[in-house]
Amino acid sequence: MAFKQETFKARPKRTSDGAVSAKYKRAAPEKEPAEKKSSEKRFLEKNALEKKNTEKKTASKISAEKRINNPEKQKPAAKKAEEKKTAAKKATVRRAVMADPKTANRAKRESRQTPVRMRRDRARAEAAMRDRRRAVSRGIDMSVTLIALLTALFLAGGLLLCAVRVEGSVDMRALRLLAAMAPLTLMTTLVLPRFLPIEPLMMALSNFLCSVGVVILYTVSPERGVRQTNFYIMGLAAMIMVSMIVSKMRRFRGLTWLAMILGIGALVMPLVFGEWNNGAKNWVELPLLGSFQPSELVKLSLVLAMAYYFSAHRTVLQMMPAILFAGACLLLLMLQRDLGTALIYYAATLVMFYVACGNVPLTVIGLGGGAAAAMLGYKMFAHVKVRVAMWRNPWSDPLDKGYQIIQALLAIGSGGLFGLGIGQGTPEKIPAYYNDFIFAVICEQLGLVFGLLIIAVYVLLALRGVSVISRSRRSFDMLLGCGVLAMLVIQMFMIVGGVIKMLPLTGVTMPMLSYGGSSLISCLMMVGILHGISARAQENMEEDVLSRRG
Amino acid sequence: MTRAWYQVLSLGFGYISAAIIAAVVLLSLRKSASDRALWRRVRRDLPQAGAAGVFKVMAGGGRRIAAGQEIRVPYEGTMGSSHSCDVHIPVRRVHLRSAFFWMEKDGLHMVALHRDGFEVDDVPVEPGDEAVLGDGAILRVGEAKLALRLYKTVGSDGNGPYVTSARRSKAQQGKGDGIGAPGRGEMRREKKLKHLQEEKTDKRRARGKEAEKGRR
Repeated sequence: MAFKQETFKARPKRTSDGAVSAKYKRAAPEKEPAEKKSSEKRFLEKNALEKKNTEKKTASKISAEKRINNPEKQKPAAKKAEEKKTAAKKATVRRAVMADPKTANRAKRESRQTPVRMRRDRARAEAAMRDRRRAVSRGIDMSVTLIALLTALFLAGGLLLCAVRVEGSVDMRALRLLAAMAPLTLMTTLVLPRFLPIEPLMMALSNFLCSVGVVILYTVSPERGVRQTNFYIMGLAAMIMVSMIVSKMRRFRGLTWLAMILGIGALVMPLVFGEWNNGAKNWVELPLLGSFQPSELVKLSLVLAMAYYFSAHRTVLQMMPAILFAGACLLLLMLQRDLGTALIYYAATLVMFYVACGNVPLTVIGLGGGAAAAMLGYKMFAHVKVRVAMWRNPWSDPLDKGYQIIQALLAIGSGGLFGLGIGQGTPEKIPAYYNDFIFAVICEQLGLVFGLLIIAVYVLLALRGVSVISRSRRSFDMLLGCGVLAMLVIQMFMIVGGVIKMLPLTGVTMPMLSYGGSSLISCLMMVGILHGISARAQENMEEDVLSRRG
Repeated sequence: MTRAWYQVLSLGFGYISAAIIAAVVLLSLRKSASDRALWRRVRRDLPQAGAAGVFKVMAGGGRRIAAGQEIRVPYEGTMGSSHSCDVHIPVRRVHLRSAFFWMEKDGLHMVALHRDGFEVDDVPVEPGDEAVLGDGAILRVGEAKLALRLYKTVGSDGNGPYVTSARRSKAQQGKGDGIGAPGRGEMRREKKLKHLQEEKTDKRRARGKEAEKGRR
């Protein structure tokens, strides 16, 4: 830099003949004698080294010839390799010992830094792989196991208390029920999800609700408790079947048409063969199956038809088969005067329509139509007028029309926060204590806290369902799950609202808790649909996670 | 067991059952939360999981969507400017619901829902027509220009993306079934008609220009 500054400060002036003036001429570098000497020295040193090397080579050649001639000195190849290895080890040890402590520390630091980064990266990659494996595994974790064990504990406590309720005797039927139910709940929660398309948490929650229903029903009516257990077993079989169909089947066209035809047929049956009961004609007596409520099973047909027609074709005209089917179902339910179920059907249809097409004006029109239909029902049917009047003021007729609601409210109040205890209180005073008003019985025996937490369990089941359907890849699966959830949640809120006098009483069952084979089986089948959707979403996710690199 | 003892035990069981159900609720909340966190981590780790591909915005981006931005394309859903659409494109002249799409083995099938339709590689797709988009197809909806990138290799028989409506592609392959699908002859006729129409429009324009010149 100094040289540059000196030479190029000013432009060199040139003389007339073009030569640079002496003032600005760059000084020629003087050759130093010392450099000459050094080059001579290097040359001499090189010669000496070459001489030494040639001497060494000749010496090694001579020694090798001697070794070849002498067979004793020849070593086997394996021994040689071993020797080499030991020598290398010794050398590394020596190097480590002989190394300067300062340089050794620096080297250590450097060597540490790179592996730390590598280790961190490796740990991250391993964690990501672990996450992926967990995401695609159908394993049962600690939470689900604990829920299953708690369910078994609840069953054991409740049924043991029922067994020793009568002084001086033990109810063996309760013990037998316990021996059947506890292993069944444990097996269905902890074993079945490993082999079948079943979502463990949903299974655990539905099992818990069914167990609560069985225990409460056994305390108020042992025969009904035992029958409910039989329905539960049948429902589990139906649930597994439905979940396998939903997870394995690819085309639903034929099944949808079959379900629609069977659904219409099933809803016509009570009108032809049924009898009026509590102002409605919605039950059928069959020779082998006994009495059953077709409208509970037609829920599945409706959901399937709507999911099929709302998913593939998005225009309103192409949705028409499903809309017409829903209209036909509603008409038949109105003829049966089963207005509670009709309301559930209508609300679920509207929810699915909105989810499928997002058409706000048509949905609002639908809501308006529903309100108009409700007004018409109020004007047309006398029992609807009575229910609305009793909802507004049950104390106007406390011994006849308002008796049911008043008893339910008294039961909830007398239970307090933690209840009177299993088998205590007077639930029999409520006329429909085993089906419509089971929530009041639960609140009386186990308390308001338990009742509120039961609603929380339903909400959690619904949220789990939402998370399952949000992972589904096809709109058909999403709509199917959406319809099922709408049915379950609307039904739950309608009956709880009716029992606590928030809504007019509609006469529907509490899902999975109330006594009734049709209701329990249809609810478990709906949960089976969610299991199937979950299994399919899981399969798709496995495909994605295992085939793609992050 | 005496009545008094039974009452005490059943009352105690009331408290135990409240604790049991509280534990059930907490455990299921914990499980749900851990599952959600796990899915979020997996999604972060594998952004491609759960999607058929992405639409890359090439042009037409505005305030709410920038050029170069990628929009996830699920395996099935709707496309439009509505927030409820699975592929939400908040760009001018994009209809609330412009198209409905689903993924198949041969590519992304797309049906126009609005009368404006859309264009795929400069081929107009009218309402009711079904276009099959391969990897790399360029889609024009309203003022938006989007390039499709599919994650999975789809059957485009190695000749790059094919972008024709399903009826036309069937006809080109000689698979016209006579029900809504035109045969080769019909395709030729359509081409001729288009050509004639174009000629007519050109002549009209030329006449209009001449008339303007005359006026001047």
